[in-house]
Amino acid sequence: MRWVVLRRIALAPFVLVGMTCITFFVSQLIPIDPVAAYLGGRGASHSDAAEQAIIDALNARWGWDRPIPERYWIYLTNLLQGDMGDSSHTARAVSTDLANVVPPTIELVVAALLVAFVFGIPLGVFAAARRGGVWDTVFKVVSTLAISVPVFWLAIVGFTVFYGRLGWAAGPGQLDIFTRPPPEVTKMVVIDSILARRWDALLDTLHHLAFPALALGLVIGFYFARVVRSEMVDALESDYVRTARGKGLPRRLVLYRHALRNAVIPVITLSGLAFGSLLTGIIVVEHVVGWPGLGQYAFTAATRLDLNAIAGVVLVISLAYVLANLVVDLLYTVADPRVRDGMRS
Amino acid sequence: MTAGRRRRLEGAVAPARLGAAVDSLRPRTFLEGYGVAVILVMVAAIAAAPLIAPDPLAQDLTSPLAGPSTENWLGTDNLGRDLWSRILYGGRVSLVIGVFVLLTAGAVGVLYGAVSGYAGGMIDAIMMRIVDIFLSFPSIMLALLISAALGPTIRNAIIAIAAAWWPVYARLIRGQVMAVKEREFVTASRALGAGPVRNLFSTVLPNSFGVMKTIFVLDIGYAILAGSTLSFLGLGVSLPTPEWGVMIREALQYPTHWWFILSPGLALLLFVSAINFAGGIVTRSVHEVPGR
Repeated sequence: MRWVVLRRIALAPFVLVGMTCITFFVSQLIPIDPVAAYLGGRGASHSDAAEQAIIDALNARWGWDRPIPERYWIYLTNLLQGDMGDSSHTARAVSTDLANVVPPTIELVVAALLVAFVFGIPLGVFAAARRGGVWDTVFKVVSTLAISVPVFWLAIVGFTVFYGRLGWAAGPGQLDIFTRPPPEVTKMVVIDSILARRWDALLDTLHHLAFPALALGLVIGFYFARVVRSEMVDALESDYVRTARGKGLPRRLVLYRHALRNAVIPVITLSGLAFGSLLTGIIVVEHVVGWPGLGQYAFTAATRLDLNAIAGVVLVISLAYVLANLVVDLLYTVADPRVRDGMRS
Repeated sequence: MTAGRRRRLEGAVAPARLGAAVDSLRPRTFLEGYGVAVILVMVAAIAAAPLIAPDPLAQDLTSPLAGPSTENWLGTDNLGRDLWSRILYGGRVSLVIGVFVLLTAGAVGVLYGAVSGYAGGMIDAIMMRIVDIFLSFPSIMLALLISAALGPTIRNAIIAIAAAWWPVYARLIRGQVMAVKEREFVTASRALGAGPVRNLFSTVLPNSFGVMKTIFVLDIGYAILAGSTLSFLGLGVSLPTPEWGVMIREALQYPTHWWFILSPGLALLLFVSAINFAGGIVTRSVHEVPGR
C-alpha cells in the first residue's frame, strides 16, 4: 500500500503534464478558429465578416500564428512561471481570474460535501438497519429517483419554488447587494466575514450558500447513502456482527461501532470518484443560481472557446482531482487497519 | 464493494438456452416490474409519436404558454407549440443520443481495451496510461469543449459524450480480457491453432462481456442525462429540435409557467429512474448465468 501511495505521488506530475498535453492538443486539433469565435462567429465561414488585419493582429497578440509544438513549449514554460496566458473573454490574466473564481467554488464544494456526509451516511445506516422493511423500500424509491434526476432541472425547480415563490432561499450571488462585503483576504466570503467579525455578512453569505449546497449535497448524499446501505447490509450479515450481537451489545453500538466502521471505507473511495459528478453538478448549479465560481467560469470558457481559460480551468480541476485521490488513498490507510498494518510489514 | 462482486462473475459463459435467458430477465419485485412497464410504455409512445401527437414544430402564436387542456394535454410552450408532442419527439432525440453514445463509446472502448489487455506488457502499459490521462481529465469539460468546438448538433453531442466515456469501458474490458485470456479454454483454442486475432475476438472477448452488460444498460440512462445536460447548457442539440434538455433551457425564461418546465424534467426523471429501477434485473441475469 505504501508503494501504491508513493507511486501515485511520483506519477502525479506525469499525469499533470499529460493533462496539459490533452488540453492543449484537443484545443488545437479540433476544427475551430478561436479568433473567429472571439469575433462572434463559429468556424471559417463566418470569419469573412472580420477584417483580415484584425484577425492577423489577434493571432499575433495571442501567439496563435506560431507552429503548434512551439506554442506548447511556450505554454509549458510560461505555466511553470505561473503564467497561464490571458483569457480572451475577460481580457485578464487567467491566473487572476482563477484566483477570483476558485475560492467561492471551494466554499460551495466543502459545504455540499458536508451536507452529503452528514445526511448520507446516517441515512444509509438507517436504511440498512431496516432492510427489507417499509422504510428501506421508501429509501430505495427516493434514492433511485435522486440519482436519476437531472440536477440542473432540480436546481431550477427548487430555486423557482424556494426563492421565487416561498422566498426562503437567498437570491443569486454570494451576498445581498445591500450587504457591505467584508474585506477580501481569502476571497471565501464565509471565512473573510469571520476574520473581519462581520456577523451580518456571515449570516447573509451562509443564507446564499444554503440553497446550492443543499441541492448539490442532497443528491450526492443519496449516492453515499446507497453505498453505505449496501456495504452495511453485507457487514450486518457477517460473523463479527453476529458475535457482537450475541455478546449482548446494544444495537446502536453494533450498528455504529462494528458495522459502520467497515462499511464506511468504500465511501472514502467513492468520495474521490464522486469528483466527476460533483464537477458537472457545480457547473449546472452555479449556472442556475449565479454563484460566481469556477463552474460558471469553466462554462463560459468552453462555450466561448477561450483556449487559455479552458486550459487553466482543466489544469486546476486536474490538480484538485489528483490531490483528492491522493488524500483518499491516505485516508484509506488511516481508516483500514489491514492496510495500515500491511504498510508496516 | 462492486469490484468484489465483479470478480466473482468471471468465468466462461456457456451459451445459454434462450428460455433460461428470458426467464432470468423476468422482473421479480414490484419496482422492477414498474421500471420495465414504464420503459415499455414510454418507448412505445415515443415510437408511435406521429400517430398520437400533432406536429411538434407547428406554432400557434394565438395561444402561447397555455396551461394543460383537452386540446393540448400538457399545455403549450412560448411559441404555442404542443408540449405533449414535443415531449414525445424529444424522447426520440434523447433515446438516439443515449443509444448511439453507448454504441460509439462501447465499440471504441471495447476494441481499445481488448487489444490492450490481450497484448499485455509494454503496449498495455502505454495504452493504459493514455486511458489514465483521459480518465483524470474531467469528462464534462471534454464534452463541453468538443461540442462547443463542433457546434450544437445531435451527431456532435454523441461524439462529445462518447469521447469522454470510452476510457471507462476500455479499462473495464481490459481487466476482463486479462483475466479470461489466462484460462484453459483460451490455451486450448490457441493449441488448436487459432491466431491472436481470432483468439481474441471469438474466444476471449465473448467471455469478457459479463459486467459490461449491466453497466451498459444502466449507462443508457446516464447517457440520456449527459446529452440533455449538454443541451441545457446550450451545447448539445439546438432549437427548434425538441429535446428534453433544450426544452428545460427554453422554459428557464418562463419560471412561473410550471407546466412548461415540469414536463420535460419529469419525462427525464421518469425514464432514467425506470431504467435504474429495472437495472436489478440485468445485474441478476449476469449473476445467475443459466447452466452454471
